[in-house]
Amino acid sequence: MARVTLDRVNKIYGYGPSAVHAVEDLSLEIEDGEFAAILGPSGCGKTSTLRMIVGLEEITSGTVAFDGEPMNARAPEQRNVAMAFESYALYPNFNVAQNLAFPLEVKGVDASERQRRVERIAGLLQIGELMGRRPRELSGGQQQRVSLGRALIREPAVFILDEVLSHLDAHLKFQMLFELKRIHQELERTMVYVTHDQMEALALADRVAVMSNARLQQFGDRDALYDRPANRFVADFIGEPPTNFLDATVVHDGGAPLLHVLGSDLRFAVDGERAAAIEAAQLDRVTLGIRPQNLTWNTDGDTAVVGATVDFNEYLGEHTILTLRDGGALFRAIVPPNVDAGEGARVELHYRTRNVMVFHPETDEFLG
Amino acid sequence: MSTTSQAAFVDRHEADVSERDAARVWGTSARPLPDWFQQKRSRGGGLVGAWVPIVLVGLPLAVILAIVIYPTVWMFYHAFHDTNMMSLFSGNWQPVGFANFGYVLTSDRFQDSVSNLAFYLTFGATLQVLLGTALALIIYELVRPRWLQTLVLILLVLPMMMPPSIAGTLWKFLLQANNGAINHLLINLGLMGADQRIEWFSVDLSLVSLVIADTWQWTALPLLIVYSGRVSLPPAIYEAARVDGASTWQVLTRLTLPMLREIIAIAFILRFMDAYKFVDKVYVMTSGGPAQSSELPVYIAFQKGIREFQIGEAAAYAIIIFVFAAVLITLFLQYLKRVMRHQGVTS
Repeated sequence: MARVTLDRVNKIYGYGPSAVHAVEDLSLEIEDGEFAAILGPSGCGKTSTLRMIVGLEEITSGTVAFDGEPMNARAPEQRNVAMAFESYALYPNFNVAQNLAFPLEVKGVDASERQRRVERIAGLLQIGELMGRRPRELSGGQQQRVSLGRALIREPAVFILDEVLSHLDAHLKFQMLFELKRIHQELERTMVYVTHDQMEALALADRVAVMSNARLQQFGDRDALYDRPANRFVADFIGEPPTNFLDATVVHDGGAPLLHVLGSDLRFAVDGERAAAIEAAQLDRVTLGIRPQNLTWNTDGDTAVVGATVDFNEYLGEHTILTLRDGGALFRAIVPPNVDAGEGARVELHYRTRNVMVFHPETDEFLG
Repeated sequence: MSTTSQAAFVDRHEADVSERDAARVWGTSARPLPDWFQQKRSRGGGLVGAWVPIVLVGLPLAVILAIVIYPTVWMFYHAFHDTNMMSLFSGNWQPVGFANFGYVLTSDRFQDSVSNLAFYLTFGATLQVLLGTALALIIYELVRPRWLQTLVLILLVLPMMMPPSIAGTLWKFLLQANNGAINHLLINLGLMGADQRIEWFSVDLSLVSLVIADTWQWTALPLLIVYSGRVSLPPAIYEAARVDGASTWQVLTRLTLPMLREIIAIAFILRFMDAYKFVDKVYVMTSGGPAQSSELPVYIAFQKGIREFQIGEAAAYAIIIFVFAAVLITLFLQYLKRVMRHQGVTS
């Protein structure tokens, strides 16, 4: 059980002109017992961050602390962390039971106690019938569970899971997501989960740290990431299909400002909160963002309306993605599967003014 | 791709398939052979003349027959005859049954050479593999900069690049009792009195000298094999072991050595098989002496056959060695098969 604190952590690989700044001024506080995810595209520094938490990578500057106690100088085995690796990293010369027991064996736990805990973990992960097999005789999903079991058996303060589901097929991944969640609830320990898959991160974690270009972009729960993204990157990265971004000029038509999308006749209204933010920033141009899910076909009355021509109609079974055009502006909307909107049709879509996000045109920061 | 061209593609594809199926079912080609092929056939009776395959297969077959099969048969024949220099040239050799084998197997010379071989295998080949393994792991774990690792490896591998006979000559000089560098070194290091000499080529030590020279030259082979095996072990396993809290000793004995077991065994088998043809250094350094104290079976076969023209006896030696080697190679292949099955290379 531990609270994990990262304070202005930096990681620089190499020296001189070839140096790579992999993690830049990262500060993060993961609560005791929390399930946190670090999410970001490949090469954003998330794995470096995690390796610094575990102690496999030296920290260039800054502090990693567990429960306020700095860990920088401690080797991985002194930190009481357990890690499940992306490549599983099972010991090929041991069978499953020996793999699970190895962390206990090196600590000198006696054989009967080892046996008891191996059986408990095997029951938890439903791998009891695999005990005598070698890693190469297991399927990917089974190896995955064994590697998870080897991390869990030590009952450490912090669990680190590095892209552990990335090699599983969709069906198995879904099942493992559920099991991970169940294991976390059962053990009530701090878990840090690293992934590039937003679905995994949002499904599992209490809070998600979104990283990009070596920097932490935002650390928050899914509502915060979804509705109040810190910047354009987060808004773009979270959500499928990605958020529509449109450059717009701010037009003061009497009272509330109206956003005119450049190169088209699209007009978006904003609610009072956003209007105030735009006023405060004193901008006459902004980047407007609206999620495809928030442009709806039907309306319950409390919405504004925007019209455009259908460019593409992608029928995906559960829903249809419309790619729409008005002048030079292109954007997408998710509509029910049965709508009558062929290519070239003129359609009207509805949105709530509070779902219009406004970003600074240069810094890409979220204004409101 | 537009819908129409896609449909056309599918049609064409299906036509191909049905044609092929027809050919398979009726045993005929549904399509006529191309014109150029038929013309060639009708004019020349085939793409190439009938003599071409006969020559292409016959020539190598003749060479193999001449340099491999004929001498082997010849050897087996003479192993059962009393052929020596005289009878070989006069042509009147007599069949003697298994007398040659009986003579060889019961001779002190052969039995001594077998115990010499056992000594060489135990202290030569085994020492080389143990030393090579230890060096490989030390270099991998302790020499940190990559370039330095490569440099050390190149330096250690250099002796292997030397022809064995040259290495043997070199060590013959180094181990000379009076002026040899090794004795001088021992005196200068104070390990031995200035008037003392180690007789490296005495009856007691000549085999040890051979082992020293051979170990100097060949330790690099198991070293390279084990080093490459260690390099190919996934680093994540070692990170997992660190996080799990395993000590360096535990990592070495519970993970690294067991994971390298097959690799080390293969290095050992290679050195073991080389031991059978260990002639060059024996010839250059000791000529099997003094008093046959450093002779190995292959060296005796070479002496008997090429030096003394005791053809029948030499052939018997060769066959005995051949049987030993065949047994060894069979065991080796069995082991290799098991390793490969173990690692999932074959079913």
